[in-house]
Amino acid sequence: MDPLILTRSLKLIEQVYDESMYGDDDLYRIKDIVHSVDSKQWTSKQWLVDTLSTLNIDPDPGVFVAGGWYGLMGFLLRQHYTKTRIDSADMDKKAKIFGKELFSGHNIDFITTDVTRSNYVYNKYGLVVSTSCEHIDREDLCEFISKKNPNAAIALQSNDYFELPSHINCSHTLEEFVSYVKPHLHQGQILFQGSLNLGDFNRFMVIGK
Amino acid sequence: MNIIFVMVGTKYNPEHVNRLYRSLYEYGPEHNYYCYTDASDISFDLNITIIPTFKKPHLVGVWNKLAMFSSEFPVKGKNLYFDLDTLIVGNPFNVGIDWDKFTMVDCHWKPQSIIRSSNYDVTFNSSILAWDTDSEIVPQFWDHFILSGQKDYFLRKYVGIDRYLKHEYFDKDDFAYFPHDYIRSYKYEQHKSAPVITFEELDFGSIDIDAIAQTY
Repeated sequence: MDPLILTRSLKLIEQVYDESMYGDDDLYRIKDIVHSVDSKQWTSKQWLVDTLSTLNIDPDPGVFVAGGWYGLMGFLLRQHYTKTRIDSADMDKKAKIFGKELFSGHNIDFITTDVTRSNYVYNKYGLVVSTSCEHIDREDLCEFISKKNPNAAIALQSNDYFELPSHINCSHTLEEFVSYVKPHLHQGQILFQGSLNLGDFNRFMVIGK
Repeated sequence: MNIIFVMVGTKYNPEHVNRLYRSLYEYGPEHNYYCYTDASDISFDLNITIIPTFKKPHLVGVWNKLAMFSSEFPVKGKNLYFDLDTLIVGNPFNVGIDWDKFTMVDCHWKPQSIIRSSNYDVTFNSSILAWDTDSEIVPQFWDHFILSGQKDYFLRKYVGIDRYLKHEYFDKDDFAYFPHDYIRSYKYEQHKSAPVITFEELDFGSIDIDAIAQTY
């Protein structure tokens, strides 16, 4: 992990604890922050960035991260796309607050919106990313894909980790994941599909247009 | 009154629903019986009206119970809910319920020593519930879950809906508990007599509930 991000994570954890003593008592956020930057999160998201870098995708005028949680995906994308706009959206308002603490100075805009329920316009982006597909209703995810700019690339990740209650849209295999994503791609073009073994589960990725 | 069951996923099958329905019907044939389920190939008793699960949001396991509190849930009026691992051995309708409140099971048998605030543990459970859909608080359980922007966070944070209900700052004055002599915990109250027996989830599956029923 980047030492600066580790330091900021620890500082944020301290802030959450301090807040619990006098205000919002929500200590589970500590565990959530730790999970958001753990090694499997880092590995999965770095895999996405590394793969994108081999595909020569032009993200301009910007990258939209849906379900960006506390911002790690936006941060890692920033290491590769140093100039372009990066917006990280999440329906949880705490994601924006924590994201600003963890990744300030990296020119990431945090947005609070539920892309499956709001009318947020994300067809203005050249690259759309979501590594949270297992958390999004399949019907909503398909609609989300179809609403992007037809010329934009989209990079999606899901997994086969069915055990968690928040994982409401896992796929058993990479093929299953691809099979429901592909029909909603405007050009029907798969630029990459792959699977990453993370020990107790597999991460699936599809990049297409 | 409406009697509601929830059968989602593969943990339970229609036989569990039918067994519970028959034991309740014996005491309350005048009530309306419903099962909220995702099953398509189902063989419920005819008097059980099937309510298909909401298309969205897709929920897993016990979280589906929250849908009962949605204003879109197609059952209105006074409701009594039973988990499918409930055993009826006496008249379950001979109980006083304050319909102005949301009534749950008081787990007074649960040792205080095992309650951990860091685990968001609770001293009640939702294995049996009573509520009126006209209540002001009940729709909030669902609306807060869906509209707060923290649905996913709640699913990570809380192990089930009991902890969600306890810790999400709903007005606790609107909550009530069934009388202690109404419910027996099979695990913790071995020698107690009560019309309704609840099983801790960890026990159920390793015991033969039908064999226990025959002893009454």
